[in-house]
Amino acid sequence: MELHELQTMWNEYDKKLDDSLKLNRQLFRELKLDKAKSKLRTLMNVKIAELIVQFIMGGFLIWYMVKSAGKLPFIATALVLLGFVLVGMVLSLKQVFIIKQIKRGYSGAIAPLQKKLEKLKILLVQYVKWSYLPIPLSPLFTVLGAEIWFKYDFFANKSGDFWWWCFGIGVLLFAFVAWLNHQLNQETIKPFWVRNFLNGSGWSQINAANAFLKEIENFEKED
Amino acid sequence: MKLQPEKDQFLALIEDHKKIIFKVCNAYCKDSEDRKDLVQEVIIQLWQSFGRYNDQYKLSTWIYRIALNVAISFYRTERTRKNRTQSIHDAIIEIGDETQDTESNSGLLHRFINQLDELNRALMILYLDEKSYREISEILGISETNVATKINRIKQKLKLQFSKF
Repeated sequence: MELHELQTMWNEYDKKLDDSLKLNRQLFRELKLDKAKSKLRTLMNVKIAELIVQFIMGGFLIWYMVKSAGKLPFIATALVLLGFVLVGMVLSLKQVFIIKQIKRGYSGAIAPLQKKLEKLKILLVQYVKWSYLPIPLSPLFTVLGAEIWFKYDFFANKSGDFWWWCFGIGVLLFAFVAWLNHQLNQETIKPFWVRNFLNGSGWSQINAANAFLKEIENFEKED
Repeated sequence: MKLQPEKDQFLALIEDHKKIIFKVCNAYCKDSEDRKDLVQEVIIQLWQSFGRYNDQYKLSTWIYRIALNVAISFYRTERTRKNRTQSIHDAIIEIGDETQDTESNSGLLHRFINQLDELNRALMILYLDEKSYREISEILGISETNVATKINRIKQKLKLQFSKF
């Protein structure tokens, strides 16, 4: 078969569509177009809300550190938390930047726009992965929270045993997060129950997005 | 909120170019229910971009870009998306399921189109719709020489795969 034969078939198909396509304009008018929500706009609003929360959190932590001069263990804990907040802010800003680029909707050229959409998907998943990382430090954050909200100083009131318990829990949580992160970076996950669990964390989406990005790059290549 | 005259203008535009929408949706969706959702999604995206139409491009180029981008994204998204879109009245669209018609020419045509990946499928639809290389390159965002190379490659593939017909 030659391409021109396929073209003839396509023209026949075009004619067939002319005859068989029924688009009832009156019913079409009933489509509630004004109520259609833009998913991209919703995502942008979510990201802006996240940025505002992160900004408030960051500001509060800086204020706390300035106010608590001399309380070194608390300042160090707040500094670590601030680091996570700042990296979260950078990731959120990156997402806002890509959403702004594709805000004109789907009217951009196919290859570059699909690339941006896939990059956005990857960033969204990376953001979820990032949110797991502070989990091992949660005992420390609890100690900080107790000082901020209840003025209870764990460092002054608790003995060595308590800190060994915190350390042990932290190590266990760290091992869990490290394992989760390792699994999320694999191209194939063999145990089906692990695969099912991680699918919800965006593992499959990030793999599919990376594969499609490669496809787009190959498609754009002139050879 | 857009005004009624704008809505009328939009509906007239859809009426004039509905074949583009259906050809794209037919090429990316085998299942008739999914196809209805996809047609609806394309129309909604066209409506949302309508106010920002840039007349430096032909209207058909603009429609093709939106329809193909939506179709490719839809094709790649899990079926759960279906539940999040508003349902369209069944009577609005009636498209024959070409893919089941394997004996006919259109069955053969869809068989060939369906085996191409998402991006080459878009290229093929545009080529078969007799778009110029320049227009295809504008829609896909690749160079004209790249378009020519890819079409040649598809020609070779077609010859090899359908040599028995």
